[in-house]
Amino acid sequence: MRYFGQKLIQLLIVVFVVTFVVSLALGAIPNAEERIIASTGQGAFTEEERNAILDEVHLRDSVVVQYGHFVKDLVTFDWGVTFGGNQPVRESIWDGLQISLRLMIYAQLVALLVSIPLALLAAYRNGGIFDRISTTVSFGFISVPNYVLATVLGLFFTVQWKIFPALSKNVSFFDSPFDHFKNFFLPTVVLAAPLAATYMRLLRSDLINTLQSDFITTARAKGLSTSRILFGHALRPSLFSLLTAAAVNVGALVGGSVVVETAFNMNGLGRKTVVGIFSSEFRLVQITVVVLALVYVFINFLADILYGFLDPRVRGARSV
Amino acid sequence: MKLQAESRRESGVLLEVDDLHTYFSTPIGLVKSVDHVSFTLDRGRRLGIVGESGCGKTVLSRSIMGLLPRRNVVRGGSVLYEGRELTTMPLKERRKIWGAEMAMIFQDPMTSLNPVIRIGKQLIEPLQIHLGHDRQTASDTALQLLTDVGIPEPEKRMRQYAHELSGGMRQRVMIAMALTCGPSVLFADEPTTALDVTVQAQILDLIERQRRDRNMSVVLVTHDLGVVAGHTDEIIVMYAGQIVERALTPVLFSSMKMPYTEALFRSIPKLSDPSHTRLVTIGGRPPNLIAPPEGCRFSPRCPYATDVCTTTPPELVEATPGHWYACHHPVGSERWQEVNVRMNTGHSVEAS
Amino acid sequence: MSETSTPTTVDDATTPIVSPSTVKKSKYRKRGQVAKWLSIVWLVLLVFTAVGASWLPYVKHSCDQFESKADCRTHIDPNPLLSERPPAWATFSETSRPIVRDAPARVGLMGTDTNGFDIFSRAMFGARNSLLIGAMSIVFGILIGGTLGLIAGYVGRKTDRVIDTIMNIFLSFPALLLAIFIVGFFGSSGADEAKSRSIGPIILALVILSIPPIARLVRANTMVFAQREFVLAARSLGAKNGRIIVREILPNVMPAMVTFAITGMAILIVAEGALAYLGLSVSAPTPTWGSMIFSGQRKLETAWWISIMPAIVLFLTVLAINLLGDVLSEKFRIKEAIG
Repeated sequence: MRYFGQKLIQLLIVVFVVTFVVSLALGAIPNAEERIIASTGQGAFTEEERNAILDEVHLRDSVVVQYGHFVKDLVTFDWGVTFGGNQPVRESIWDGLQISLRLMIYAQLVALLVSIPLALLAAYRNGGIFDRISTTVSFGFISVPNYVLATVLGLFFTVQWKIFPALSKNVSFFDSPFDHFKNFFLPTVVLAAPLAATYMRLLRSDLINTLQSDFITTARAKGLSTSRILFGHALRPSLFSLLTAAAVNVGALVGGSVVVETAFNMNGLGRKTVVGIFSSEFRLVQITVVVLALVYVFINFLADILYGFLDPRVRGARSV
Repeated sequence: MKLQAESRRESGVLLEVDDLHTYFSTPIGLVKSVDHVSFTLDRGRRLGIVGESGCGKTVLSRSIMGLLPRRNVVRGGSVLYEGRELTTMPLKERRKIWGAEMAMIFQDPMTSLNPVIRIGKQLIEPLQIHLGHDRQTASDTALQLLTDVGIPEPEKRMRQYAHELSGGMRQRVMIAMALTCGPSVLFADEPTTALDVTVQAQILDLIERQRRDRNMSVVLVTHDLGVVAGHTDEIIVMYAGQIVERALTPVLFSSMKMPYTEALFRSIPKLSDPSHTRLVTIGGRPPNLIAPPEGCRFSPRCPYATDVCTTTPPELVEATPGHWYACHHPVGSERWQEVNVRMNTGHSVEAS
Repeated sequence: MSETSTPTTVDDATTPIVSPSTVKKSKYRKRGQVAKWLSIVWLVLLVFTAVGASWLPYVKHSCDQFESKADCRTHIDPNPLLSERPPAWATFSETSRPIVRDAPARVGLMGTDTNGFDIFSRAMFGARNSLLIGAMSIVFGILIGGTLGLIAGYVGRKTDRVIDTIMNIFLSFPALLLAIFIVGFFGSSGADEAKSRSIGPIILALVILSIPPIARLVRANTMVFAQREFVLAARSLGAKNGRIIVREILPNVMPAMVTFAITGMAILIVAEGALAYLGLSVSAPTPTWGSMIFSGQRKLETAWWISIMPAIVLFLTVLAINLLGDVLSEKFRIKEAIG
């Protein structure tokens, strides 16, 4: 319980600081006033009109007031409208979130489905051919930057063999599952590859350690079969590094897959943020940042709780 | 269960180990951990295997069960369990025996129990796999076992994890786990070394009680002569991978022949010793198992060693029926008397 | 005098009574050596060409030769005759540009890009830029992050809490986005064109990216050592805190820091590439690997080498750095174990 409380407090502190900083970021940009005015896209303004615009974003009020308004807007989902497309920011972010979440889920699933069996195989025959090959290959995948991988895969699958489309469209799964997959396939693969490689290495290393433990010998002496030992006894204690990494990645992937989104032209949150920066969509960027940070922090919080749940030793222990 | 109990009422030879050897292949040479060991074990008997750290006793017990991995291990000899040859048995068959007919408990119960699985599940597992029990039956059996081994509030314990139990309780759980399928032979590998002295006696008594109730054979592997003294019928003394003496327990303690056994015995501090008596130690270092000394392997550290000891390995000879030893100058011989007159007790037994 | 350590693993045989100093020299340790030396060779070559890029005979063109970008634009001759030529050895590829007069159909080690610049040369200059950016960023990152970590770990209590929380806040953003913000924030000034981006904000972004992980690592290591007796001993002898940190703790924390620095540099080079890919890095025509990959993105069908060649160079470099980092961390770990 104490563990839970501590983590909760940390969560709240981070949320506070992030929203605070972001709310003030608007004013801190060089030439803030000018750019805000310029971004409304319309011509010159009178002094009054300028003040009106600036007041609307509370730029000249005190820090506390600014923050207060920001939080209020945030919480009531009063996020304004994008300058460019005149679309409610709320909608834009929701669309982007859907895509980013999808990508993240697909990538994680693929990565986990691939890495866990591979790791089990590699750890079981530690030092064998499969082990060595998979270690080398995974090292390679970790070293490849994702834009390189995207480019290379794009070259083969899109250009040469014309299997997948170059510019993805957001086709809903329900409209046409096949097209949906075609669009999401390459980005998922590019995202999942380094993920799977990392997961495999983590799990394999932990498994090898665990397999040296005494309780595995006990399990053998009980006459249990290899698969039962691997899955029932060795896997669970070895999952911690993997799960920690996976949990961190849940948050990291949502905002951090900017590159892949750009490469395959998917309008996820990451890409929207970048585009927003370029086109001075302040509100959009602000809200996106906060959303992303909140998602990330919250996911990490859940992960910590899960961690405590899985490892019974952590639950009872006092905090270090 | 019934069939096993029936066949168990018979006595007779359970385990025959013949010329068993286990070598490990390492970059610096072949480590001869177990070097041509032979003995037999009858049903319901208690055998003690004694020796210092590194003498090969743990490797021996695992070699008999067949728990060693395939790679880098050179094996030979035969192990007959109820007439079946274990050394050539395929892994699948061996697995059927492990846990069901031959069980092993290990030294450190903290690390020998899975830390993230509840005790109950670990207990139920062998029942489900070997005896095909369903969850409920297995659960009931496990509860009964926990009570048998003297654990209070067994229902509560079933749902706990290893780290929530004390050392003694954990070892009891290990014993219970080993006994679930009613094995014919229990290998206890240093079962008390990791425990408090007070708990040691309890655990040993527990093992003895279970043995009696089930007519089970017990192989007690330890470095502690005190442990085997009261809890074995027969003792094997090992040194450098070989058997150097073997006798029924009372015979061994009353008329030990091998100087190494004598040294082990002397090194046990006794209550009757006057206070401030120096602890007796065995000088020298454990033998190199890759290139053991020619002749008797104990000769570098033996106070009675002579030239013949360093050149010719002694053969196992029978002093009295059932009492075997391997030594050129056993206790009581001329050489022994010669040296002992010269020595005072209380000094360390040094190589002369 | 160890107890007979019996084989307890599923497949591995642990051997009894073998002293720990006899390490098994298995056959794939040698393979590891080959990889290690290959990496070193590659990196040395790379650094060498990067440093001497301007003077190497083959390497031609570069904006760095000129005083200002304007000069570069006017003086450099993009050579339309040689636009988009595949590498000399790529006989399976053909350029889609018209071949005029006697202009060669295939040029150079890595082909030419749209402007006719030799890609190999650009890649070498790109090496210089990328390596510089990576190295400078990681050095600053270590200086600042390391100091923060040392202080946090050594002083503890409140200072530690504060620093740790601040680091955690930074870490609560996906790294790349953080970098994008910083670059976007400080990068453009008023006139928002990607053209006028300078190197400063990028290094700033990368430095800020690297500080929290380094600080966390150093902090954890420092805390371990700060408890040890030799620190207590030094303090009892009257040594001042600063001296203790520098003379006692720092040497122990160094190995971890150095290993992290090396892999960190690889990560930063990749990050810079990512920024460039998004159009946020230093502006054209200054070559960096990332921007080169980006510029060839749309031309994959007709002129694949524009993207793929720098991609390969980047990949090999990152691979080499990672391998070395791995090897180093193994060495340090063994050293720590043996003491």
